[in-house]
Parts: sequence; C-alpha cells; structure tokens
Amino acid sequence: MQCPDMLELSAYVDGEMTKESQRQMNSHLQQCSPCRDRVSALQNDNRMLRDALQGIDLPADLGAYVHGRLRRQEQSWWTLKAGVAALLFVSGLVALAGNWIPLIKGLASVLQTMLGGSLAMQLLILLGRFLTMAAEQVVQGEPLGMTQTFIVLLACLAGMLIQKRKGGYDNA
Amino acid sequence: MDNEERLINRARMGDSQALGGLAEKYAPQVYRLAFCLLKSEEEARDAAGDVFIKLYESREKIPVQGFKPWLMKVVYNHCLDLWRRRKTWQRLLPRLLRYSPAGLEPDPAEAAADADQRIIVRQALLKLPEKERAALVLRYYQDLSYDEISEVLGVPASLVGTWLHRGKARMKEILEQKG
Repeated sequence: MQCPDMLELSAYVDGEMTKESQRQMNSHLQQCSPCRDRVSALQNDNRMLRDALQGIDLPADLGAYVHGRLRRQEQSWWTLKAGVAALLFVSGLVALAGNWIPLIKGLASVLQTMLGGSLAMQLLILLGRFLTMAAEQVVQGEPLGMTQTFIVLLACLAGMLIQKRKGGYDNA
Repeated sequence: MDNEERLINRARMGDSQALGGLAEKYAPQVYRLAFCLLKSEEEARDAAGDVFIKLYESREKIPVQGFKPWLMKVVYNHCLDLWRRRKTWQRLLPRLLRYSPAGLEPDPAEAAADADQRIIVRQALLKLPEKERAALVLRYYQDLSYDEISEVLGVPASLVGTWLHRGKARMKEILEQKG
C-alpha cells in the first residue's frame, strides 16, 4: 500500500473509514514510521482542539437565563390560551343572550348561497360538533390547539359578521 | 428507553420541566457552538435562549432518536439567520454598526493569559471561514460523525472530511505565524 494522503489519515484518526480501509491502514502503519508520526501529530492536533473548545467559558447565568426565558414563554403562551378561552366564553354568552336560531339560520343561508343546500347543512352540523367539543375541552381545563383556536375564532367572527349584516339577531 | 429518551418524550408532550432538563444538559453545548459561529458572548447567550424557545414552540417535532445532531442543526440554522440579519444591518448602516466581533479580539483578561495554549488555539479557530469552523466544532467538541455533520451543514459527507482537514491545516498556519 502506498502512503495515504493527509485527508485519508485524518479520516482514519477520526474513525471514519470503512472496516476494510481501516484494516489496510492498520497494517500499513505497522510498517511505515513516517505515517505513524503523522497519525500521532493529527491525534495531538485533535486533542488540542478538543481542549480549546471544552475550555470556552460559559456565562455564569447561562442556565438561569435559558430557564427564565422558557418560563416567560410558557407564561405568555398560557396567557394567550386563557385569552382565547375567555373570548370564547364571552362570545358564547353574547350568542346565548341573543337568539340562537336566527344566528344559525343566518349562517345556514350564507353557506347555502355559497355551497348549496346539503353541503351547507353538513358543514353546519360539523361546525356545531366542533364548537361543542372545543367548549367541552375549555370547560375541562384542557388547552386548545392552534388549529382549534383558529376555527373557533373564525366561527365567532363569522357569527358576528352575519349578525351585523342582518342588522342583529332579531332581524335575521 | 434511556433517561434522555424519556425526557424528550415528556418534553414532546408539553412537560416544561422535561424541556428544562434538556436545556440544563445541552445549554453549554448550544452556547459553545453559537459562540464559535457568532464570535460574540452576548449573541451566543441570546442564541442559546432563542434555540430553547424554538424547541418549546415546536416541541412535537423534537426527534427521540438523533436528538443531538438535530439540535445542533437548529443552532446552526439559527446562527445563519443571525448572520444574515447582521450582514443586512452592516450593509444598511455601515457607520453606525461598524461591527467588531467580541470573540475575535482578545479581551484584556485573554490577552493577559495569552500563554494559555487553549486560548491561542481558540483564537485561531475563530479566524477560520464559517463552514470550516462549524465543522471543526461539530466534530471535535460535539463529537458528531461525518454523516451527522453533513446533515447539519447540508453538504455531502466527503466535503466534511475536506473541510475538517483544511480547517486544521489553516489553523496550524495561523498558529505558526503567531508563534
């Protein structure tokens, strides 16, 4: 075997050779003293580099800083969810205080215009089921996912728009 | 299932204590990689915080297997973003933001302790091009394999070997010039 180049020796020292190449390299090194010296120099360089990198000082407050930011992030996340839950609750109260039937009728008529009768009905039933499940989840204290929150907000917005367009529940 | 896998599984389910446990274990590694890439203690500390916030926000994506290379990829990509932003600012406001990377110039304490071989080696490392620097840190500090490094840096594994070799040769030149 010819003397390997430095790139091959480097891969050998890093343990990145195939078993066969490694075996050939081992037998070459047994016979070649200059290559053994190169391997030893490479091992020395790697050790020096490792020491230098492990010696990078850490900021004294690194752990506290990272934990503090995680805690703040978690708190703001829960504040957002609590806000959404409160909005859902208030929207529910507003809807209950008005008249449910005209609201649903309004929504159905919009959907019917857009999608046709049976599809509109199916969508309305699906939305009803979804909102009931979301409400149950909030009541049980479980957090809503991002998609759920988005659909609930969209439904609330649609309800409010319909209400505005029809001039209030009573005129729907 | 080992301790770390259990921790990751719990973190994936939203257990903030488990995520805190991962932060405790990996924050030093995240910081040191970020420091070598950004050459700034302050930015590296911020980056470490940002990375764990990212983990919190997309916790369901944390892989149970191969967590460390994945984490290092998050750190690397985050540092790349910071770099690009920094470059944009430098282009836009060259006079106001004439940037002098903190880690590149030895601070007084480092200068006083110049005899410390580790500091000299580290300064030489910080002078290398970004890709070679990243490859060297991932290999000789994070102990990632060539394949894992190629995954992190998004290049073929054969190129990783070349960068490592070239990086070490360049470092040697810098060290020889210095001493």
